[in-house]
Amino acid sequence: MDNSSSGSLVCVGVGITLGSHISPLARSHIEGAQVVFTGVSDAVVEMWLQQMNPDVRSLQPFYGEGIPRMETYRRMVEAMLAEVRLGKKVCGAFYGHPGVFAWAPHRAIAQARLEGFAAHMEPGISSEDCLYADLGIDPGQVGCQHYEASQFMNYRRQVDTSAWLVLWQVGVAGDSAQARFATGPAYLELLVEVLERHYGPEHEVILYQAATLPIQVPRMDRLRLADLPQAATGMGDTLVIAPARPLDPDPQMRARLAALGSLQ
Amino acid sequence: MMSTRRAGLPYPGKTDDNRFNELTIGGIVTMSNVIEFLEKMGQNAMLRQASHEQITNELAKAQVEASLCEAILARDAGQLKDLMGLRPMFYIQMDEEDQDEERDDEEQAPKQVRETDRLVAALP
Repeated sequence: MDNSSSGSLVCVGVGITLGSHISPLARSHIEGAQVVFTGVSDAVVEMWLQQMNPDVRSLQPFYGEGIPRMETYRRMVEAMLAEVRLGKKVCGAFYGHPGVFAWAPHRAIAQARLEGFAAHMEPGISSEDCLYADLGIDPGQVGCQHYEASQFMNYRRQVDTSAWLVLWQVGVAGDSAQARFATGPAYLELLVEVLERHYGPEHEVILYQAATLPIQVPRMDRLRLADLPQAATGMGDTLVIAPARPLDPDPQMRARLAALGSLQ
Repeated sequence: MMSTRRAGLPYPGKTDDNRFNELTIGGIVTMSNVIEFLEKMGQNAMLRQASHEQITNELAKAQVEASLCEAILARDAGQLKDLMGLRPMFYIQMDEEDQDEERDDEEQAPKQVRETDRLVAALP
């Protein structure tokens, strides 16, 4: 069935800081949609978005302590698609970038396309972008690895300690039921145990959280890895770990590259 | 503080259709004033780095209620939200178990996933 001439879906990012990061295109999609669904991290941001369109619906009611988050995400997808199927021009407005650490926007777009509807994503300024600016890190300098914290604990990853390591959602690290919104010191102790396979207990780490409101400053707390379990962490916190050793040169490859250069 | 909050609503300050009501404090309609001020602050480089006095003047121009002004001047987002009757939000949007679920989905419905991938790849 070809529904492409009726309903449509666009998922846009509104950035992290209210007023500062939203793109003109994202705003235009929000203002021009028949229905807007919001998935944001701050109730003030949600209020701000509600001023942009007469029909803004929060995805927040789908969350709940004890409700598996996968169920929440599936309901979000279904809520957006139900309006698309009614032939409406739907916009999903998500904090940060709608395709970074966000399951529902990707799935909703794929499903809408599968059903014959026009659907696409517009990027936004993510927490990762803010992190580079606030902490003065250039991921091109020595490289930067990004993992979701629980996944990092549950799977054995090949960590390159000559590059930066960034663990997202550290405040819910190890929540295997996906039904809580904070874990706690016992979980962080296990995370430290995993990290100490690669880093010493004295190694400096940074707890980072970008500013959501323009009156805020970002969280940038530096602490010893061993002290992480005692630190207060929440849903929005990210753990940033500096390189622990210099880059390891590869003399054989350098020689081969030099040989290639001398031939030209 | 006069509030539009009603029992049984999903969020403080929101109506049955899940939209925020205007909140009035001391007779001043303040929700939209605060949001407009924060948006202006977010968009304006000078305001982001303005002095306490300059922000005080801008808040007065925006007719933001006194207790909210204090929270903004103190850069206390928690106090500001408390005064506005707003709760913290849940906002985790992806979990590591998703990867396992994705694999399960592929095993159970490989044709559907392949079709999705094909459509995704064909579009800009």
